[in-house]
Amino acid sequence: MKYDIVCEGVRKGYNTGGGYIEVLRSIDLMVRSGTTVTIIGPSGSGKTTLLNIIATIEMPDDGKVIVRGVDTGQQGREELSELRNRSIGIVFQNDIFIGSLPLIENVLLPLTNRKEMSQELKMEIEERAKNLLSDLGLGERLLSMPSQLSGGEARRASLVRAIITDPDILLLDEPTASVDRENKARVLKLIESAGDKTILITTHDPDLIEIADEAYSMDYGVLSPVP
Amino acid sequence: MKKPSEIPTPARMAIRYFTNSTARTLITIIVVLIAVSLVYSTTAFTFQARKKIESTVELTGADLVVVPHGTKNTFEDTLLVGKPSSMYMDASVYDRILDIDHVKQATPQLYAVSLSSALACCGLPDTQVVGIDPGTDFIISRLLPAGLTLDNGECITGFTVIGDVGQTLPFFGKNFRIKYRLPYTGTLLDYVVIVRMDDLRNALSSSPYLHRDFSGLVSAIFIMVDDPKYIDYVAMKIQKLGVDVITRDSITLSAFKVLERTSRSLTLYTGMAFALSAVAISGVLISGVESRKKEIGLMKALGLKDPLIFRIFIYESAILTISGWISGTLAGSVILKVISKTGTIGAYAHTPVLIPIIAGLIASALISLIPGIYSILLSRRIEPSGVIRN
Repeated sequence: MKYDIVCEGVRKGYNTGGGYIEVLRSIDLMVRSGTTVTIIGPSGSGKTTLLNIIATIEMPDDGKVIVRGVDTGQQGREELSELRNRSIGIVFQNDIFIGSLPLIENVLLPLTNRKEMSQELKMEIEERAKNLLSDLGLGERLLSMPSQLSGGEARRASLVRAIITDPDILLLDEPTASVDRENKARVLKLIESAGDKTILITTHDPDLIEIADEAYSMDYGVLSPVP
Repeated sequence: MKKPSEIPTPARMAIRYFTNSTARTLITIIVVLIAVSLVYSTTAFTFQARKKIESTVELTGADLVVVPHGTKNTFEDTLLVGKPSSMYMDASVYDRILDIDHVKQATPQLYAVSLSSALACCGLPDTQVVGIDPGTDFIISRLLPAGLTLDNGECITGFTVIGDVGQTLPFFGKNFRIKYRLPYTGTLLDYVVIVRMDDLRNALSSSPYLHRDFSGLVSAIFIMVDDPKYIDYVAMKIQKLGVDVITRDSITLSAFKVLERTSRSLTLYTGMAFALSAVAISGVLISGVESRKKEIGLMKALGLKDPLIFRIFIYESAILTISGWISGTLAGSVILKVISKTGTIGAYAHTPVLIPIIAGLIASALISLIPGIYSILLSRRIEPSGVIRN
């Protein structure tokens, strides 16, 4: 059995004004390739921190994280950037875009400087990005600037940006937050259609738990399986 | 034709950075423009002035110039900045100079300033009229075609004086036909009208406005010494005649002193403008630092590597350098035009040359590098986690 994500004894804490707070307490998690796993839990329980550590955006204080067979603790900055860019698609907790780029260019941003890509492939990916944006109700917003997007639109655009590189792993932090009912159905459909990918979702949304192969709950930095 | 890819490139991202925020871009470019235009105009002014002084002194071809007592400064103003003037001394000085040992050649000149009213029809300002002695002249004759003689009722005009060959110019109640136009010299000769000295004397003496007999007067005597080592000796002898003597070196020296004072002030203002530009650019950067941090953090979180992110900032600096350079050079040219229309220092401002253009480019690059280096340093410090979390 192949695992795309393996966390062993992952600990993480922060120094705050009120002292040291341990956010993750010895997390063990193994996610099989091609499965969808959701993590539910209240705000501040450590879900986003775990997702960021798996995404190699943050490093754990202790423990080991292996992503697609790569021990992230043993890699340099360049290698981690490469891993993030090539193998992981991320929807961040906050929707961040480059303010000076229109939506279509923001969605294609992770593909910047892919010198090995042929012109034909680039065109194909661009077409795919436009179709995905259309599928999520953003077909008329291709040239809109990020500041012109609503919260729900920005969320959906973030999802397309995560998917467009065709990564092996999708890490989605509250992908349906701020999304209305009609568009949520489109988002769910899109996530379900990416069935061959390994997907890790943090959410409060019961509909996302429904589509998962496995579910965990996170509380005070402790991860436990949901039966 | 193939449609360009919509995948952003560092160059396109840099262009978008400028085109997206018109106000920020305008402020930034104006700041660079001000600094570049000042550097450009100051450098152009200084270089042109030096060149002009050297060529003016060179053009006279004289080792010494004799002028009436107390008119040394007036003469230098005339020679170096083209300020029209008239001063007179007894013509007998000329004969006495010829008797001094080691005087190889000497030629007198008579100066008069044309009355504006006489040329009002042509819209000309006051013009320096120079009377030369064709028999002894060694200054103007070098610029004339071989065999060209200047007869009574004829004149030679400097390059910038209005009027074509064959036309007549009225001076002091007499008409002078333009026989020849001097080529451009970059010196005061470009602004003068040259006539025969006896012709000018007659015109001035018969002018109903001047009421003076000019027949025994000259304004300046240009002298060549047979050996440079006797210049001081000849100057000392001439001084005993009760006139002022100006050596070739002292003309250059006093001109450079004036130039140095002016250049020092200009450099000070330029330096201040440069420092203010740097502060202003930093202000623009600081005002946008939060969004910049967010964008850098995002690019890093998406796996874009440092060299690629740095390239965006380098392109931004390059765009700012080129736009600031071009607009600053154009603005600097306008400043030079304005300077050229003003009093004393105006005479030095002229056509731009290569060095000021390069100086403007360096200035533009230096200021434009501030945001580039700042962004690169910022980028090195930023961890995507901090940005993504906030």
